[in-house]
Amino acid sequence: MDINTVIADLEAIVGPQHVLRSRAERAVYGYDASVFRGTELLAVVLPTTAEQISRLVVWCRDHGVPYVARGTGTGISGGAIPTHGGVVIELALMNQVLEVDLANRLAVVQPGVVNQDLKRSVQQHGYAYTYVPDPGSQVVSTIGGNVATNAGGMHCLKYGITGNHILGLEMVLPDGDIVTVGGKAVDQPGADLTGLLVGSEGTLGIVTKIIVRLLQMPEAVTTHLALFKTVDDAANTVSGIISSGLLPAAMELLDKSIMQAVDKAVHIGFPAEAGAALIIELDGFSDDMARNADRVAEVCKTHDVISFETEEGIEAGQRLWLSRRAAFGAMARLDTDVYIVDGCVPRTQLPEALRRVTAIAERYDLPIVNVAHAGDGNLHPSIPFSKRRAGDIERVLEAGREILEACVELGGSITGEHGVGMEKQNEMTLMFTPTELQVMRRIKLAHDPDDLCNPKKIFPLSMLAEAAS
Amino acid sequence: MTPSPTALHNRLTALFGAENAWMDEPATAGYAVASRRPAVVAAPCTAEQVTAFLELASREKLGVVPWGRGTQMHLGPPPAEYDVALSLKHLTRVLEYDSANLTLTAEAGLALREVYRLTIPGRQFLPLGYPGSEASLGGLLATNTSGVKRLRYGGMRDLLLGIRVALPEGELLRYGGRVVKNVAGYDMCKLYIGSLGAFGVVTEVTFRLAMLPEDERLLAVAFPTLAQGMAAATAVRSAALLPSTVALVSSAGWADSLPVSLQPGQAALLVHVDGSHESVQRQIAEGEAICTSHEAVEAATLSGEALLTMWERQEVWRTSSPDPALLQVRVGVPPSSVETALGLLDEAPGFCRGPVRWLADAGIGSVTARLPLDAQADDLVAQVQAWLGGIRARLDDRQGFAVVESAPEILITQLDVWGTSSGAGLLKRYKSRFDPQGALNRGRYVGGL
Ligand SMILES: Cc1cc2nc3c(=O)[nH]c(=O)nc-3n(C[C@H](O)[C@H](O)[C@H](O)COP(=O)(O)OP(=O)(O)OC[C@H]3O[C@@H](n4cnc5c(N)ncnc54)[C@H](O)[C@@H]3O)c2cc1C
Repeated sequence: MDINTVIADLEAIVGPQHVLRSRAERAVYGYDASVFRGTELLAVVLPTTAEQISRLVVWCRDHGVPYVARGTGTGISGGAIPTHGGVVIELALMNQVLEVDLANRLAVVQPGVVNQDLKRSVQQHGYAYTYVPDPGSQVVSTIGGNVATNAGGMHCLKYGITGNHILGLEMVLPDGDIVTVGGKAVDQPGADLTGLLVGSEGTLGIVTKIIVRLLQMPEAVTTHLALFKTVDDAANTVSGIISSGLLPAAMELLDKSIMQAVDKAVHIGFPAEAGAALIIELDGFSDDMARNADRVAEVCKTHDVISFETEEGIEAGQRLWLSRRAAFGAMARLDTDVYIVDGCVPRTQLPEALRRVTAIAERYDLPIVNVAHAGDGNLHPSIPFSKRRAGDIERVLEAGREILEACVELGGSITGEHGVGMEKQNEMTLMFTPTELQVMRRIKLAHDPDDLCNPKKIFPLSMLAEAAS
Repeated sequence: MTPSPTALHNRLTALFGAENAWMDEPATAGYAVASRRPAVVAAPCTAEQVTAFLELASREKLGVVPWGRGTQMHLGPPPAEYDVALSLKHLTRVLEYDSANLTLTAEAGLALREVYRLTIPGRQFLPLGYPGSEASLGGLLATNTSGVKRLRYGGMRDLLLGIRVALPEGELLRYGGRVVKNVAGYDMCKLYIGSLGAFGVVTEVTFRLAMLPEDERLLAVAFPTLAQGMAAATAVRSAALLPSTVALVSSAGWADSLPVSLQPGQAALLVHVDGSHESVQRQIAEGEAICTSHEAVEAATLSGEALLTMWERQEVWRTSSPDPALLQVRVGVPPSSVETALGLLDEAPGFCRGPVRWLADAGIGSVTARLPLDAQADDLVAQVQAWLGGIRARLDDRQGFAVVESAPEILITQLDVWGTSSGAGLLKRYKSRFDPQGALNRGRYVGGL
């Protein structure tokens, strides 16, 4: 196909100013926040309406050209990487909050709205409501990307993940149909299609409109930072708090290695005997806050807490959140790159999972550091390395795979929130039988029989090769 | 060609044993859907047996209707083909109750009340239905039934973690798992929520549980008119409260065992709060203050056993198999349009022989209404069709919908039970890949599937 014809066709759909074609521009879109990179593209297009996207995907189908939807490319599993060239459909220009409907506690947004911008936009209507899901990337990642990856964050324990907050979607299917699923009224007849399409990582169509739930801002917030001698003490505290009947908004765990790294970066001054830190955030009514905070302190005591600090209010709490928020930056200082593993286990298996991570780190001689959304059993062992050092990346990926094997063995999942993308395609076999994968793929085939919509992702490469032959 | 009932019975006896396959009259009559009866009733004992049966059914092009505990079999038009009733009554094992991780895995035929019995001693519960519910876990999943406290604890889609499902072509599969965060591949569990068996027979489910609250109380307040009750409901919803339920009932509607009495034309607002003693006390007080400023005529609170009984009666009313002289409709709207929905439903149309009874969940935006049919009405089918079409057109403007949950056979076979659904095209695509023969519940599902 002549590249000039291609560009002319695309320009006819989205307008000349919304097609990027220079080598430099195209090269940028070969990356996201993962450790992978893509192949040469034809062009990047920035549509402004669902109808344009519909025409784009029909054009792609007619010409056998693959395409990938992209939010802001903060994905960590390579979901937005164009692995087979073609066209990147960037949603940056579809960034309007279309409606804030406080009477129904919802908002209707375009996919390119940045998570944090939605929160700000809701707050313009008074500070009573907010949009809750808060991935660490919330200042840059898009709601469309969050929906496509079913993103998590720090406050999932009480509030759930992105999918729990999505009431409905508009999606352009690979044949150009624009469909609506779910809506402002819940429990429409038929299956929970919204739930099925959330987390489909851009492989079933392109999300063009999203109805999100809004929640009331809590009246009171209390944050605790508790230090323990061991990870086991901290993890057992997490289980103890939950079985006492409390449901904190967040419970985040840091192990000794990341505490040391954070201390170097932002000088917190953790005592030498501290082997684990737990950040616990309670929110709710002011009436019972003091008593709940006391109950948390009690549980911490029974697990030999060595220090316990409390701050009231969101602002003051930031001081205690600092070590967690600084963790990513601190990791980045350990080497030129960092590989973040994302696995999930039943909450009570967290100590065992972290023990296995330590053993794997020793075996591979890798300086693994650990943060975890402990309340959810979602661990993020993170491995500093350098892409430039020969053999590093292979060793790191190998160790990552072993960690995921351990998570599955302990009754968990190969990904709690970052998705499969191109990173974990082959690890899907740890969780699913070949038949389970074949049947799951029927959904893909029902949407995209030509496999042009973010092609050859999610499913194991061996299975895709077999299907193709 | 479909085998004769006797031949079929023999095959199923070979599969499941003579004690688990019946073709005699009382047995098949017990599994009637409207006036349609199966040729044979079969009750497999394991998920593997379910799978083996489905393989046979799709090979022989049988029409299969899966049965949980049969509490909601009036949903949807009667099956177009009904050779076998596939009863899950033997699939009732609890496979794992992990109280430390607040999860429960059980076979799909288990009654919800058994889950309450098992978990209440540890102060945990599955926030669906009500403690005495006869419904099976698989049935709740297939009908997408959430609990009255959904505002606080989430609904079916928030609580379901994993499934095991048998497909018509003989695959037995697991999706999801036991952890609360799991984004490995498509979330196949969601396809089965509200699936009414269209995409496979769910044999096992895993749910997350919640801790019982320290305290819970219900505030019931009577208002002179429905409009005033509705205004108070809106005020409660927009106040800084976190109720588990905000519901409305009318004097004509379901008003048994309420702690306030309703005169004709009056309505009651029910606000249920769960939480610590302090937060419950405060919310009840604030709720009362809001209601007083909306000219409440009477207010009372319920707690403990009396509170449970009240919800239980309400849920029994809403979910029981209604008598054949009734039309039951469920309307879904954005919560702010509940008043509009009630305006449409409250007035009895000409084909009714008495007032419409309804229950409104004003927090979720869902109204269940029962219309007593006048059997003498001229041209009942046409009248109901016209009424339903009118309601749907008005609800459309509000992004709402109406489904017929139950009706006499003459109606349910002729009405558009589900209405048009924007997702019907996708459901059809999936159906052709999951159940290409249309073995499961043929003709009963959205879009005529
Ligand atoms: C520092 C940092 C912290 C992070 N913290 C978290 C965290 O706490 N929790 C978490 O879950 N993730 C986290 N992430 C990962 C990432 O931010 C999320 O996956 C996020 O949801 C991706 O959004 P995005 O807009 O960048 O999407 P992209 O990376 O651009 O795309 C991600 C996937 O979504 C698809 N997609 C994007 N938009 C659409 C659309 N409109 N329609 C269909 N498909 C679409 C893409 O094709 C791709 O498969 C973090 C990342 C970084 C770099």
